[in-house]
Amino acid sequence: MTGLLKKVGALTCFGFVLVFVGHVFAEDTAMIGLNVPITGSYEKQGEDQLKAYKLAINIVNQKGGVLGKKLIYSVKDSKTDDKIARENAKAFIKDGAVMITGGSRSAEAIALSEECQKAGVIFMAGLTHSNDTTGKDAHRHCFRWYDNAFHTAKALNKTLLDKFGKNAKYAYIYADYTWGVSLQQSMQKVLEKEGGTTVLKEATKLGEKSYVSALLKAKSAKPNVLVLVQFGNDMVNCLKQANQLKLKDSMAIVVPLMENHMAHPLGPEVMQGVLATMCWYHGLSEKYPGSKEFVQLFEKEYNAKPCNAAATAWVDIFQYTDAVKRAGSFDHIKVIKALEGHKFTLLLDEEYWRDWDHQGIHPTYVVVGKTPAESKNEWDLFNIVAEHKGAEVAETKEENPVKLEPLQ
Amino acid sequence: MKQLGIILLGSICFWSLFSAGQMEVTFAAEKVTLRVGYLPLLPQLPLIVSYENDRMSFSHIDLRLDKYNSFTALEAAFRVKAIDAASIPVPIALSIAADDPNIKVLGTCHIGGSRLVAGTPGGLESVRGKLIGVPGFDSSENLMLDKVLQEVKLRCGIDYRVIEAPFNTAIDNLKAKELDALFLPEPFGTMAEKEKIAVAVEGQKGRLTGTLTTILVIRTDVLESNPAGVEEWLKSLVNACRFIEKDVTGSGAKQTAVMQTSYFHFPQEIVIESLINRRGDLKFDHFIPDPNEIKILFDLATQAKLINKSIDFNRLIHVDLMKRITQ
Repeated sequence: MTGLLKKVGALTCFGFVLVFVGHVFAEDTAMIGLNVPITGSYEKQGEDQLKAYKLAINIVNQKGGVLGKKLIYSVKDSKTDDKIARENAKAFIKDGAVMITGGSRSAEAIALSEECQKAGVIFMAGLTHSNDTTGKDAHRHCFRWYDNAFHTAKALNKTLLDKFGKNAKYAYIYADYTWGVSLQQSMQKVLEKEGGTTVLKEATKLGEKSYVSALLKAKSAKPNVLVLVQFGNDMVNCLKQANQLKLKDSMAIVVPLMENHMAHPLGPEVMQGVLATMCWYHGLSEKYPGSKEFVQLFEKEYNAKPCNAAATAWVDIFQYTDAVKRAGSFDHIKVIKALEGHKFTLLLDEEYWRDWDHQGIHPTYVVVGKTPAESKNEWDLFNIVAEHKGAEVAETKEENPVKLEPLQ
Repeated sequence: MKQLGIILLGSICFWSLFSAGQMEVTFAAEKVTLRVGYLPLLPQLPLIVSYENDRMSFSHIDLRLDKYNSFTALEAAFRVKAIDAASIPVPIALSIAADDPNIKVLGTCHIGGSRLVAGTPGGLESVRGKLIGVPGFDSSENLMLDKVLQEVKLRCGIDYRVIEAPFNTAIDNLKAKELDALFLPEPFGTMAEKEKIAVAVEGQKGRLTGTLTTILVIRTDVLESNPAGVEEWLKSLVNACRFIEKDVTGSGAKQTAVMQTSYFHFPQEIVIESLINRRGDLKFDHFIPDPNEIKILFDLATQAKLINKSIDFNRLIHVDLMKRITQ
């Protein structure tokens, strides 16, 4: 009888251990929604973002996930269209996404931000440069690491003044939607304040194939500087056509927002001398260990240098997951609190998230296109000619009087 | 005349400049396009997971996926060279090989995944008098069903009947009682169970489930013209298989379930249920098909008069690449 009891006891214990172990090791998951333009004008940037998102998520999972949960992701093509992006956000939210990230176009990011705010889901904005994302359309659930138009205009301002003087004439060819308008206006405002003159403002539609008519108008306006506020394939087409018209012979060309995937297909022959800004460039891997690690891992996986679209994706995943860990919870309110005002070192020196508009504060780099002789390889396309501290180029509270929603 | 020449030359220069401007930007395109056909079936998951995970990092190929709705359509696409590679039923691969030596078997990326479900519970003998939906008469499922049911003294056409069940209507057909049973790849068995219109037939484990059903084939000319690209794709497929296995065992198949939604459009819970319960003994850890299993299916296909020519198996089976990759 005693033997039987012992056996029953042992079996009971074994059963308990099995149940207990089974419970402990039962893995759970948390889903992140990746909204990226796999097709459309910004497809190259979307592809670059997606690569970095997947790489970062794999690394997080390899290190055990977040609070015991493995991250899984769902990818949806926004087709560089804000209406589609909005529907994607709704679908992600319905599927239970804990965080949504992406948007390679400001109109997309603003649509995603709105949906996330309504649903109480964190949105780590991707490639969005419009002031509105953390300005008039800012939301408590949205955080944006990427520079905005104000940063770019302010960072370029000093270089342009040094190079072309106070009374230089500027012509603008800009994409006619929130980002293009926002950046064009920021540039004009900053430069005119210093004495610059605007001789042309020409709006073009997203996905335009021929910029010849606008470029010929710019040629006739005889500016000192032609500012091309275009992005993605649109910028590539525009710059290519400006080069065919030999505009660089009579004026300087400035591309306020540059991304290496736009310069790569054009090469140094077209890019040489073009002035631009970036929030991150792979050349920074020589200076910062975080950037070095990112570039090495990305290159190993994809056999290409990451561009700043990828850098943004990288920061978004690691910043979100770190915030969840600090918060000890996936609860959106706790995560927002963990992000607001948080200082961190990832790709650069110490940077931070502003608590009142959720803008990431870090340096903006002014770059100039290398000549073919200077360029050592296909990705070596720019020299960094100036670094502007984040706090110096970001809008003040007075310049960006945003009031985020209260936490509920 | 001279003036006309100048005008003409001027016009050509003008239009060539502006037509260049009109062109969309194209990026360096040295990669060779590899067109892969697939069907929305869980055993075909590695094809889409490979595409989803690696399409942006291939150095030698530009992978394109084309969706089909039946093995017949997939076979036709392969025969007319609309696709370069696919995972197709063994009898279809053998039938193509009998007609045209321009095909190689590269391996496989799953084992099992098909199972027999019927409207009424019971063992294999219980399908007597029933009409069973199969993927096609030339599918591995149909031949294996014939073989296994003969072992329990049931003869096709006399004791039971089979019919080709289109994947997109199979569940509705079963619901409408136009079919009594299904022997299809997953997730159709799981879907039928979820709808409570069928249950798994008992006694099929290891006989109808967990068997070789489809194999990876490629056109010989594609393999010979771009061996590095094919190797790259196979490596990606192997990684995809491992990714799925890891997801099934480690994360309850959730990542795979999410991934398939853009391609297969199955409800995620159905996919998860099917994968984590290994319905049809579906596993993605099997890369080299057993030559004996292929020969058994060849014999069955010959008996069924689906194939009436001999096949040079040494020439057809080219699994060295897969062996090297998986080692």
